[in-house]
Amino acid sequence: MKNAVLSAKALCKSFAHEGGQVHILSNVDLDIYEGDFTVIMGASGSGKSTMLYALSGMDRATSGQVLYKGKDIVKMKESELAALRRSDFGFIFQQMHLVSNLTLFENIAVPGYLNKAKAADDVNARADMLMEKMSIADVKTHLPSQVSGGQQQRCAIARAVINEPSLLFADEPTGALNRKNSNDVLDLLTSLNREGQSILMVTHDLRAALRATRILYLEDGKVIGELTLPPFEQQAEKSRETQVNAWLSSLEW
Amino acid sequence: MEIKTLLKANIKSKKGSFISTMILTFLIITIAAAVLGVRNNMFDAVDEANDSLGVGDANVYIADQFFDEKMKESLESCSALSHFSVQDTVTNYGRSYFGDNEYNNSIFFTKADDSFWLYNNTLDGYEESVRPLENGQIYLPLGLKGNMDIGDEVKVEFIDKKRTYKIAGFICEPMMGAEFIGWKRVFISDDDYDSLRAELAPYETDKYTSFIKLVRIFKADSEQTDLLFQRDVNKQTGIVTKSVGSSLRAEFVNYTTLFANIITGVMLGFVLLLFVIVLVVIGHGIKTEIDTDYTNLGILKAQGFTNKALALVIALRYILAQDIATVIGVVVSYPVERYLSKIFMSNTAILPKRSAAFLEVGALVIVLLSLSMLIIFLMTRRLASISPISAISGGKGDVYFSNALTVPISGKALMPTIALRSITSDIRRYVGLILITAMLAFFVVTANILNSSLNSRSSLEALGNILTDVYISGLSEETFGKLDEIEAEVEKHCEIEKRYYYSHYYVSIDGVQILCIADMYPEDSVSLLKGRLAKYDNEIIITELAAEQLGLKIGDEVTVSGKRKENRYIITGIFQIMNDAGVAIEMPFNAAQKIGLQNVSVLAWSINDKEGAKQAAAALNEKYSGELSAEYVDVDEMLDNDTIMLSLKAMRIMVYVFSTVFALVSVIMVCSKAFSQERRDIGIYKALGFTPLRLRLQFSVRYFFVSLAGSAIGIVLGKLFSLKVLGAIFRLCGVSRINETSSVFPYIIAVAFICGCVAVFSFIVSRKVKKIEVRELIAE
Repeated sequence: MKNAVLSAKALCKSFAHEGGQVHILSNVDLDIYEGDFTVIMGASGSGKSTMLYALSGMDRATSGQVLYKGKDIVKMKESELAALRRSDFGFIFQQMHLVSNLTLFENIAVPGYLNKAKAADDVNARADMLMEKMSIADVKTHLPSQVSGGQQQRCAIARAVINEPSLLFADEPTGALNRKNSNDVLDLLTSLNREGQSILMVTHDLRAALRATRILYLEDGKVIGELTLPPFEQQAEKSRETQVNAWLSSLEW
Repeated sequence: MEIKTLLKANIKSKKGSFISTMILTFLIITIAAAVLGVRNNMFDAVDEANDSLGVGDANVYIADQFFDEKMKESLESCSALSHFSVQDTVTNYGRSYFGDNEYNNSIFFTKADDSFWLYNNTLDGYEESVRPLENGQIYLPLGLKGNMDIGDEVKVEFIDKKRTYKIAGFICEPMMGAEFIGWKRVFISDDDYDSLRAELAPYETDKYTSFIKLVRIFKADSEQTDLLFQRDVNKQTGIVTKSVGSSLRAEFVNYTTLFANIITGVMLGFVLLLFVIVLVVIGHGIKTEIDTDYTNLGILKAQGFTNKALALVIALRYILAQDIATVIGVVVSYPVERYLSKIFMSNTAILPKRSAAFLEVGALVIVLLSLSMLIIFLMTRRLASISPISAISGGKGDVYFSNALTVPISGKALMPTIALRSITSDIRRYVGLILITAMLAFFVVTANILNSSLNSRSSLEALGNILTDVYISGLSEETFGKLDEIEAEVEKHCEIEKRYYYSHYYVSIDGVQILCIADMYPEDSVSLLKGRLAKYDNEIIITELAAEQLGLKIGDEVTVSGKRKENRYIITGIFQIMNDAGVAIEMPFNAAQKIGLQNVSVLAWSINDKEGAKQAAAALNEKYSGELSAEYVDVDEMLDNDTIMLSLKAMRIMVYVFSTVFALVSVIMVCSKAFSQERRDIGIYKALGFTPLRLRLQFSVRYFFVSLAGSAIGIVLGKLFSLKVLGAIFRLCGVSRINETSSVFPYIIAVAFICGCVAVFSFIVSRKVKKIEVRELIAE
């Protein structure tokens, strides 16, 4: 029996539009489990990104609950959400969003300093270790504008895990990368997951979805399908792709 | 039509910038137009009063006995003058009482004539004609009003004849009516005057009361300068040499307008500085606008808009804002001008004119708008660098660049180091605010220096004023003989810090009348600028302005003529003094004795012990009752209540208020632009867990650092130029030099004020941080 790290209950999100309401998420009930590499897939406009924002506290749900460690993050104050982002959640954006006037090393270290859970020297040591792991140690003093998109995204991953978050959110992390860089990033995420990092990723890229241990399929704001897979390294990629493709076809993807 | 549409959209989306430009321009136009109006109306009124009320080009005060028939004939035959008039006066020194206050200067009592205008009861206009005075009534110049009102009593002791007069009205008297002029002319009824003269006739005049004729002399050649005219008249008649004093019309005008001239000069300087700030703000605004609107401008270019058309839209927005502000500013300047004129009127004692300075304001507006146009033109040239292709395909790259000034981010001081990094990674973005804060700091430093230079005892002394705690004037030769004894009496009660034993009297140098200070302790009172003090009986020192006017320098030898004798003296130094518009000489007492001075007329002491000084004054009055009158002066209280000091305080407040408004508007404009540029970074920081409060503090700290850098430049500029700027303004008004205050407070206060304003305002402006959502970072 897996432990749920995050649970959504009757989660709804709607927007006012031309005098009416557009419902993006409709009564979603969902658990994200500890140690899982969960991927949310769905067609464009299915509400997958909206769900990611709502679950990560980047945006507030219209109604329902998102429970993390027994607390409803929908009802949290801005300062509590900030604390959550500081210490418990990590976030990887599609467009990397590194602070452009900080070096790669500083981009990684700053959230560590901010968290204050570790001494500055320990943060520096962890940042160095992560940079080694992400193969960006040789460009640690470079500004984001001076490195490639792949290096930027690896830096963004290192930044997201500097505080050893309970849950790592990733929004189309390979969306802005070429095939080679995409593979590198996915390898890194897979490796992190192997080490026990819980990940919730939104993607429409089949190759990215193959890394998941659990795939949720969203349509019209509802989870209409779920596929559980063995860890990536325990299954041949070809058979995994076939299995996932077949499942997606059954959902008319 | 397309320009109109774009302009409307542009104003709508840049409301903040539009309003800020309006506010800044409005403030500048309002102050400038008001100050120009004040100066115009004041100088016009002073000139008109001088012309209409018969102020002589040279005005000589001569004792009755020296103005004999021979003198009259020599004046009548003098080729340098066109005509002259003579007015009899009874002059009283130091025994006139206005309420409880004794007036410590000379007052000329004379018959009411046509040389003044009578104010109406509300002091905002003149009566059509002067009401004849009844017996027992007196007209006072407005500069003597103080707290007195019509109906109040003025008590005077003429020798031993006491008189009481009721104030019948206040007058505009352009010769000596101004607050800054010590001597005053007052008017009593013909009968009162005649009976006073008749009663005093049998008596010898004494040190308090004398019979003086005021001779007003007018030039034959209007092109001749007043000083040369006086010299020529004196050469032919000797009237100035024999007089107790003389004043040129130019000196009256200078004295009357002295204070207003200094203050309005400083204010105009302030306006110029503020305008430079406006130009910097506009330039910075356009630059940032082009950077942040890069994509939109690129799209417009792709649709066929030319650089010229886009520049026109930006220019029209600024011009429209400035034009609206100019119209409002000119309208609002009128009541402001009336208000300022009213303040200065209590000083000049002349009702200012009420005309608007259309020509000057018009010229000013044209110059200001032209300069704005030039800056707009120069800055909008950047539009040419916009490429539609790069704009449409994602705009410009990162605004940041790597540079040598990189400050490491420290985990222990995260906020200040991130703030510093933001500055060093794109220092060009902060150049505008650095310049603005530098200029504001410079001006606040200048205002503080002006204030501390004129608002403290030591500084006033440095300017040549003498501020004493115990004061005896009108000393007789006999009492002067007891000087050692008097001094010993004072020392019984307190320690004497400085001694001021001096006489002010008029001498002539090569026929030019000039104030001379004969001093027993020049080292205690003289503010020396160059050379050395005059020590020996053949030495004098001279003010810079007098040296300039007379073409003299240190080392020159001159003939100085007293009333009876003359002697040759060597000039050993240059000093400064505020008396006589800064035109004077000073010599040791033994040097003055060589041209006939018998004794000094003033004994005064500076005492650092208020109680002791009070006791010393009381003891002197008791011991030498009937021989002298010692007065205790509370200098601090006097400085606090002085109208000039109060006006200076008001001016300083104005400078601070305007600097605050400018800092506020500039910070709003600069920070708002920064916000548009940094939305993404703020979102990222929020996503990393930075709270809005922390981000706001970080923002505020960053702008605090920027303002600190600007203020540091402002202080250096202040150290280098403030005194020069003030010196130039003071020099125009006749004061040779303004001395530097040794205090660091003017600088510290300026930095604290500017940095405090910027930090607080940037924190307030940064409230928009709350509105930036992290989800803005997420690409759909």
